[in-house]
Amino acid sequence: MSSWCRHKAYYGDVSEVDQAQSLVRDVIAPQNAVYLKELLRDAGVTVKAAASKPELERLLLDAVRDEQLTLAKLTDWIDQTEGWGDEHVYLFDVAKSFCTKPCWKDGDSVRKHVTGVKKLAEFFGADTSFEYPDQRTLTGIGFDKEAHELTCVWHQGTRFDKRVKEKDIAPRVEDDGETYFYKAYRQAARRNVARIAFRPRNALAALFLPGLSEPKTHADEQKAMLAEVASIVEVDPSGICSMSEAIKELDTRANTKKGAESIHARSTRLNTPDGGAYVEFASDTEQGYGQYAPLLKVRKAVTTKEFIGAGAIFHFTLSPIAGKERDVRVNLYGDFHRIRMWKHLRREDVWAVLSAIRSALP
Amino acid sequence: MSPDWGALGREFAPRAVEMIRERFVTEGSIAFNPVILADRARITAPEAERLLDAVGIFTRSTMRKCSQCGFDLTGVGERDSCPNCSADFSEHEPETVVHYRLDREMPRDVPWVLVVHGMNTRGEWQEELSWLVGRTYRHMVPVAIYKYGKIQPGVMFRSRQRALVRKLEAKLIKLSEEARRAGYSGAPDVIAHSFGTWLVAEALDRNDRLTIGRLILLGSVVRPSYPWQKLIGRKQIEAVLNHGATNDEWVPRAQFFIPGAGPGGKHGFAPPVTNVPATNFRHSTYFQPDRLRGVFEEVWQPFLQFEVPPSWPATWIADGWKPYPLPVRFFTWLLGFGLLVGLAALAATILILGVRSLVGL
Repeated sequence: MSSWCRHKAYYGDVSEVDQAQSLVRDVIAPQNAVYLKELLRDAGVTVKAAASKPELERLLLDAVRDEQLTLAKLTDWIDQTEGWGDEHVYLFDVAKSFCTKPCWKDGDSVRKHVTGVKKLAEFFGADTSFEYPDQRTLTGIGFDKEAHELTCVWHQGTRFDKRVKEKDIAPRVEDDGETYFYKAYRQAARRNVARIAFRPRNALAALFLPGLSEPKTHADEQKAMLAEVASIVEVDPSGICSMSEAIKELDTRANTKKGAESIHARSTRLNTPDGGAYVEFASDTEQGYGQYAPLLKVRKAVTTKEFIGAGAIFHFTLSPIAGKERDVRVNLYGDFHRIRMWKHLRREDVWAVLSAIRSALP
Repeated sequence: MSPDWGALGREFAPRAVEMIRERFVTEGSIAFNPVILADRARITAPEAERLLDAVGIFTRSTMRKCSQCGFDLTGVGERDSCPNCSADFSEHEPETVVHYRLDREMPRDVPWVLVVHGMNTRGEWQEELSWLVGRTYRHMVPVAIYKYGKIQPGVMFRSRQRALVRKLEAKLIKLSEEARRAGYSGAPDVIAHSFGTWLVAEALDRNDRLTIGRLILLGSVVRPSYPWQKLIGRKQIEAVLNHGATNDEWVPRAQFFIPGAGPGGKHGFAPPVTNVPATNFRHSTYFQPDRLRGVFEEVWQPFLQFEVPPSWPATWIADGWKPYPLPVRFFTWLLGFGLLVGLAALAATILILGVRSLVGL
């Protein structure tokens, strides 16, 4: 289906500006304010540092109206931003023998490989979908030549109730003589994005599930998603990267002078291997606990070989945007080897964090 | 900048001021929750906040927690509901927790310590120091004691000196490898006394692959012109503290009897070495049982533990130094050598006479 048909299917026969404005309201405005500001500034719009979300939405709509932001520009931006960051991630090591197959040599080989699978061919290189399907639905498969990364994307629309206090109805006596008050909620729609990204050069695959999904459903979701694209990407679930080990190594790094420049550990829990007891280090402030001398002394006395990493909250330093220092909070869970990111990020930021985590493993 | 603790103590509850001061002089960051401070100091929370503001070194930071599930909302971005329990923040406003923070460099890691004794002792003090370090850091800082025995005459001869330097070099390499295999990251900090300071300096100069962390020199007989700057520049040493005894009786004489030595402990070294006087100390006063703990806690430990070492009230900057002319040093060395030979001859004579009287010759 062509880009135009997809847009038409979703928005009907409307102008490109109207489509872009709908896109702003439905998909773009809920993203992280930092990135919205960056998008506006890149388009030449002056933005106050303290601009609120509604103000940003208005500026975006104005920028679309004034053609400073086009539909194509917004679509590209969504590809790099939507769903990235606020999500659960699972990392998998992929067999070297699979990664070195000729089908991963370059973009053309990958295209042939994917389009050779009948049921997946139509998704390869498909335009960004703006649909809100009821069920999680595979909507696109793409290959980024620069990153040498194959990405399979699923979308799912969900409805949620947004509290709107100004629409509340104050207490009043009704016909039956009783006093009632009403709390108002606006029904809103949201798109969840799930992905599998495979980087053959790193022999690494990452499976992303939306932040709002329940961890207890993840095993089934992983299974279903991996099965759906198994004919093009062979990911063995037993190759999942151990977050237990990553927690121990990242925590050790965070408590060194050099490591603390790029990561700090706000909380780390180490369990005895039998799970019967644990030791936990935590900071009550935004700083890493290792900044506090009494805790660092205790931590240095712990031999990590005797423990397994059960859970941790790390803050990773990201490259600054417009001179502003940024860091991102990431929770790591030893059980089921889950990574939880909390903040909307750009794709490159997410990969920077995942690379740092992977680098902590042998 | 250090706050005026005296003035604060007059204006606010002295107990609370003392609690803050005690934390201020430690290494690493500090953070006060005013509610907890108020509880511990038996004052009200607003009073605690006024005091923390008045100290003038803290940044007030506010953290948010979900009022429904207690989830820490730091680093989760702008949200209108809790990402953990979905509580709507317009209905359930998050709780705020206030801290007064002083962000400082992370405390420095002291991975392990090597102590090297001087020529006059077999290093009984090393054992005392090892026990003190163990008590201070618990079991996280192993202390390696390097012993080479009593060598008074040996230090006068270059060949013996070279052998001792090579031995120390080999020992340091072996210990570093063992420490690395055991999971200790980083080079050792070294505490050396008297001729031990000379051995360490020579070993580092001889082998540029040897690295140590921070070095504490006690009663140093290293020549004041020693190129510490060069070693720091090539990252063989992080920093050097010269703790010099002001009444040291041996250090000024070292250059006359030990080839290549000098009065570094008394004269001092050029920056970046920090010269701290040990007032009224003699050559080995540091190790007296009633002094060791004091110098360790007041000078050595802060130097090792703080990323940026604290400033001591009385440091000195060394000016230029020239050794005594070679003929003078050679003459004194010869005198010492002669004395040594004389003593040896006397001992031999006594021995021979003793043996002869025993066998009745």
